[in-house]
Amino acid sequence: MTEGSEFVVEEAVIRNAEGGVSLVGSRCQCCGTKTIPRSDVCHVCMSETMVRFVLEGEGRLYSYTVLHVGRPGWRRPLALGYVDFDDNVRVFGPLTGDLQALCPDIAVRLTEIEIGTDEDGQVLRNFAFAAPETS
Amino acid sequence: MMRGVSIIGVGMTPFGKHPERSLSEIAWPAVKQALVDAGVERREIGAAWAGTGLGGPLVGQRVLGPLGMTGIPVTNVENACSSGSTALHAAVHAVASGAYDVAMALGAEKLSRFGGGTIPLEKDDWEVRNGMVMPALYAMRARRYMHEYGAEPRHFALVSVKSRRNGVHNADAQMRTEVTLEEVLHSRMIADPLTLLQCCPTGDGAAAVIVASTGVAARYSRKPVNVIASCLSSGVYTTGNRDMTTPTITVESAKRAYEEAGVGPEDIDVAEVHDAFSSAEIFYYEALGFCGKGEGVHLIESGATHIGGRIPVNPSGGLLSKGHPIGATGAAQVVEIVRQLRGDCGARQVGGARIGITHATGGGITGFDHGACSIHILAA
Repeated sequence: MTEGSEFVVEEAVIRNAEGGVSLVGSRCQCCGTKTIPRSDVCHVCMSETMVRFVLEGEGRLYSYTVLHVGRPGWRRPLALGYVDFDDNVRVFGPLTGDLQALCPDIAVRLTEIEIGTDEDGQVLRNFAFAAPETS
Repeated sequence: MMRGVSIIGVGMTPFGKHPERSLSEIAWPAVKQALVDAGVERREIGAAWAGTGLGGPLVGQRVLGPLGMTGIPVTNVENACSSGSTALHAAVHAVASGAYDVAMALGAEKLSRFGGGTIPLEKDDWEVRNGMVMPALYAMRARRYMHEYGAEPRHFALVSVKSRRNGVHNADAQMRTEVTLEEVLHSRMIADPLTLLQCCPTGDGAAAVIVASTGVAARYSRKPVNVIASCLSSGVYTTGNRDMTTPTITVESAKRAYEEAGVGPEDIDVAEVHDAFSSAEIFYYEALGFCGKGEGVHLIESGATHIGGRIPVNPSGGLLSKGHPIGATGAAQVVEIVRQLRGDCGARQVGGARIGITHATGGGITGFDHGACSIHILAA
């Protein structure tokens, strides 16, 4: 996507008009089910009439953890969580911002982070959800 | 089930780190022990099912070949943490159907070949690509449960204290020393709120179970144990919201198992449940009906799940003490319950146990609560 670094889930992240990131998923034209990540078939009605939908903005943190183990080259500790959006969309991903402010049910917004490096030392980016700043 | 099925023999290789032994070398002793325990000749085994999570291809042939037991139908089964119990489910139903009078299920795993760290997951999976590891998944469930039901980290830690106390008396367990609540809470943080001593150790091991039609079982075993329910579920897929404080796949499997067995949770004398992480055991108390929703913390605090309590859970020490060689775990739970129902467990014996339940579930993939869950109910 952007030069000099790659997104971990390249196919699912786009740059929006404001320069931020949005996530790309699928919406079923038959039953309206939305999914992240994208899919060619609807798991609810099995229709193959999936079209692209773009997820952006704010969601609600369902739950989270701060992980102290995990992938070599990735941030440690790394906060991870599930975030709920409208229309029954739930997305798992990394969290950023003030980790002390994390709590289930707070609002978080879609953003991006450097999540670590790959085996070749290349910087890896990923979408992330930002906890609100505390001041 | 079409005809009754009984367990006539069990065996297991003590769980631990056996990096110097091949998977076959780890597993064949469990099979031989089960044959001896049953008093059955190897040529009488009509078919075998072999479960492994990460042990690679043809595990059944690799284990049974060196014992001269191949030639019979051997089916290899992969169902993540439920692989061994899925193998048993298949063997039980094959005997129930009349296809075989005697069959074997085994589970085998060698995780030491991966070095340390969390168990490897499917690299193509969406959540795994975004950083998911098993402790993180269980920790997020625990965090939400704390938020909704007021549980505290110490409640989860009490499960580790109880399990490690039981493990002291189990020669097949990897961890055989007691730990205090403080030691559990102050061990290294892995995935907040879960510390190291609340995560099951990985390891190597194997377990084998021989089943026979109830009609012929008495020919072999002095104390056959009847399989009164054998259930398997693959869970429900959703990309949307789910209540992560309720392990739906376990709730649904348990419902079916109790119905099949014609017993309820109040009839269970002893349970082996899938405590891959301390918090999970609390969730499974509720899912298996040992207490109501949100009451799991009170159940562990009250001592009801200790040996000698109302419903002893994981007298073997559970995964937290035994370790969790993925494919072997489900079969090893059955080994423990059979030994409990025979009254062979010595210092960790649950007094007067007549009905026991085993519960193995797992598999971290996007869209599922868990990928698989297998529940067996056994009766003396």
